[in-house]
Amino acid sequence: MTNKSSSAPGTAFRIATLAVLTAVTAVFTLVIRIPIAPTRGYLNLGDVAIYFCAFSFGPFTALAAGGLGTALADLLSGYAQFAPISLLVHGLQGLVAGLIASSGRGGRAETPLWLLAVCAGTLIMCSGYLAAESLLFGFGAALVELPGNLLQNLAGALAGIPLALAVRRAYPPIREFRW
Amino acid sequence: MRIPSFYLPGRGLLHACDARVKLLLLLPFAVLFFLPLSLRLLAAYLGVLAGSYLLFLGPRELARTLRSLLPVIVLVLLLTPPFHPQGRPLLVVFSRPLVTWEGIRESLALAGRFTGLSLLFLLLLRTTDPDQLILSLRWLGVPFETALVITITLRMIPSLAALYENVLDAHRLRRADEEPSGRGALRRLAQVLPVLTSVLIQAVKGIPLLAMALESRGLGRKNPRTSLLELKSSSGFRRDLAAGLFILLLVLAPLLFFPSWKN
Amino acid sequence: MPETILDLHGVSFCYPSYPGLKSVPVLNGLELSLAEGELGLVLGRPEEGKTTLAKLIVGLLPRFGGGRLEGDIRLQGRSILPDKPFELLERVGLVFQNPDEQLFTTRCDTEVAFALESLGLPGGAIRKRTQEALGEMGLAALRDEAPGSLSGGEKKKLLLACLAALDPPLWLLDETLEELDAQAKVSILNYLKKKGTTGLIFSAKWHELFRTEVSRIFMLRGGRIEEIVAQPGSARFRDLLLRQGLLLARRPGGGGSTPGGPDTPLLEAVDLSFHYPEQERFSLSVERLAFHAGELTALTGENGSGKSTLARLLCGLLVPESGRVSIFKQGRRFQAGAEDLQRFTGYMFQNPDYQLFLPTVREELAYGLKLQRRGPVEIGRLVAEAIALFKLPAPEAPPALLGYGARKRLQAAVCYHLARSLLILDEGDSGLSVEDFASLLELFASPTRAILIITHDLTLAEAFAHKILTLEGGRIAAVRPGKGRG
Repeated sequence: MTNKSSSAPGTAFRIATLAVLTAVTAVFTLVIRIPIAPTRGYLNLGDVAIYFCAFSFGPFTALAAGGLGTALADLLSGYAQFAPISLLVHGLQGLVAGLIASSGRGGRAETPLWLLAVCAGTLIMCSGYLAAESLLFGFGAALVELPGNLLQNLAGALAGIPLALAVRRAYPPIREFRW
Repeated sequence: MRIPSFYLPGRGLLHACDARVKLLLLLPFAVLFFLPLSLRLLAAYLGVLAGSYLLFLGPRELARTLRSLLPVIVLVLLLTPPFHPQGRPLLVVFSRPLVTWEGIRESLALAGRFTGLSLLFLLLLRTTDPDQLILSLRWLGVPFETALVITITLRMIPSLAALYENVLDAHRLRRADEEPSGRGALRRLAQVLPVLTSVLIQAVKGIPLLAMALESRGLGRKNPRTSLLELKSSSGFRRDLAAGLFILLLVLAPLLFFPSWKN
Repeated sequence: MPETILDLHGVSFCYPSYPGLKSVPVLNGLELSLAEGELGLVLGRPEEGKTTLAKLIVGLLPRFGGGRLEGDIRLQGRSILPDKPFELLERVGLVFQNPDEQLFTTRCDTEVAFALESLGLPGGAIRKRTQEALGEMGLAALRDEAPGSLSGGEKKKLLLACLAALDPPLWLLDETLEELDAQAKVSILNYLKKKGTTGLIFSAKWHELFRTEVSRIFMLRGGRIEEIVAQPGSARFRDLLLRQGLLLARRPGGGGSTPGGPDTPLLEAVDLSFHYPEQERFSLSVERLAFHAGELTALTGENGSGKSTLARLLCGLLVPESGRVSIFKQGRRFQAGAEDLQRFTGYMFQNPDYQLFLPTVREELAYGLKLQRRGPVEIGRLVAEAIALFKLPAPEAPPALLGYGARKRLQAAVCYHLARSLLILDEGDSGLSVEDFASLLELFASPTRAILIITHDLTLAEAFAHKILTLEGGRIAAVRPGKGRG
């Protein structure tokens, strides 16, 4: 009697994917930091993780990992007041980047699509934070954050794209992990 | 490794209060800070919050928290007035009003709002056991799967952090012969990519292993799940909720009796 | 007549193929029958398929990871093939080889309770069974501790408690007894025997205490299972183990290495002291430690005694608070700072995956050589040589998909090319058969190199090392000679 692997990912697989990638995003945000703008305290690689998720796993995973991962990072680093903002803004960033990144037919034409995804994500993340932080503590202080946020998204593209490609080549089964 | 959390165990009233009540009341208390309040009232609310912090978490905690908020507060105070040039001028530069009384008032209000919201959130987080918090979220309707994702994520963060440190060491040793090259940011990014690649490969490899562990303990069954841990009894919940609502009313009362106007 | 609990008939399995890595069948027409009350030991070299077999019996393979399974697997007469793993919960349970892969909650009691919650048992019953299970494993006091903060042995006991709470008719333990001290091994085996558990214990090493505690002994090799009828202790039994590389036949020699005389040591550490900023309890203090060319030293000690800390100090990953480390390089002796040590000492981490990140074995090997600025022809030659020396499969295969043993050998090959004067192997024997580990040591042995092996296995240490250091609480508690020779 022959038996092949079951195709549809079950609940456990979905939960495992979300948990691992959320933890990855949180660690990329928390552990790998470069101090700059005093308002948030650091430039972090969280956006790199979000774009990696968007490219390698798809919109829903990027939404969950991005939103929840950065929110948990905020809660754990003593910036709990930013958690709701991170949840919304980074969640949306991941969702939109993921939707754009997976809208292609696959194959070679991906990198330009990914760049477009990063542009959209950058727009959402920067404007989202600007709006939310203006509400929280005024437009003037919120504006100070903007250059840092732009830089983070730039890093997100410069690192996120090669990472997604490198991991795919080094660990081919990742292609089957999307859902 | 201990799972990371911001919880500081203690025995105060706020610690003992039902987590659901704290979570439910977070929203109305937070909204409070977005209402147009007189500066005096805002200061009073901040005083109450700081007092609660002092009472339930201690002076050192309060000092630490305020210190961490200081950079933002300073920035707000400095950068808000230039964007509010209306009102009676205080500082005039080249016959253009740079700082006005209105601007100062606005910056104080915003700084107060930020501080108030921060203290509120941190107060909740530091006096509530994360397991209770997650149970409360489930009680509020968050599905079990989401709560499980949060629990597992909290469990995985320390081990992923340790993985990162080890990978960093391993790569450093492997490249010890390399001539230290340019210091540009681009160079640094290129150097960190192999490290991040190793970390991501290991993390992604862990996904099917975790899924296996979950299914081997029964996740995916059709029957409804039960739970080992429970929230407080309903009578305790009702009592805490009543107390909480009473406090909310007390806090809102000044608004009703002294309608706010900016001064 | 006792009921047949487990019945494996004609079981064959192979993993899926990937470009650059063609799969070979792991199991080939395997047969096994286990009756109620029998506790069986399945011996097998690393990579023979023990974990694969265990995961097949609980239905986790081929469900996760793909592959093709043929044959029949029956539990108490009923085939498990149509069922999913979460439906088999009450019929069979497995303790994974690596406990960190199987622990995922934030408290020990919720960890044990999780499976009971999945079954939908009432809260009271869950609490009772959880408490009993934790008590049986001696973990009652750790009830609300985080599983991640437990020691390796405690984690394994926690997983056994998870299984005890469910108490299915068949228990599978994948190398669970490794890395447990002798007392813990005995108590667990006694517990299983007393309960009359039907189970299979998978192991890559033979321990004497198996002799009285298990009822049947099997050998997994060539994709099939054979029952060993030879009596443990008999010459025939020893011979069987030897042929599988599960026992050491000889001391590793070669390289013309003889421990250097009283001349200059390659590395000498004097008055070394160190402690971690967050932990006041632990501190390391070593008066004098020296490594000579051609010498193989073993470092043993309990978990937490400071072995890894000492190793990291020796390779410059940690900076000591006080003390001097001097090295002998290019004919001179000079005091070494952290960066000098990083270039002098090689460290093979216990986990081979920390430094692997490239898509093929070939690229992984070439990476380090390129950093040494060698030409492409030389690189090609060295890569081919390494693949042959370390028996690496498929140069075009992705390292991430190779088996654990192959990845360890790849890590060793990378280390080999670094050609460091002092080489530290941290638990290098885990995941490799004793024979393979001995071959590895032979490859590294050289008259100009000192080797330090960190290991739990005292027999191994005694057989291979010229000198054995025992670390206790951050201090060298004992130094004694081993039986290793050049």
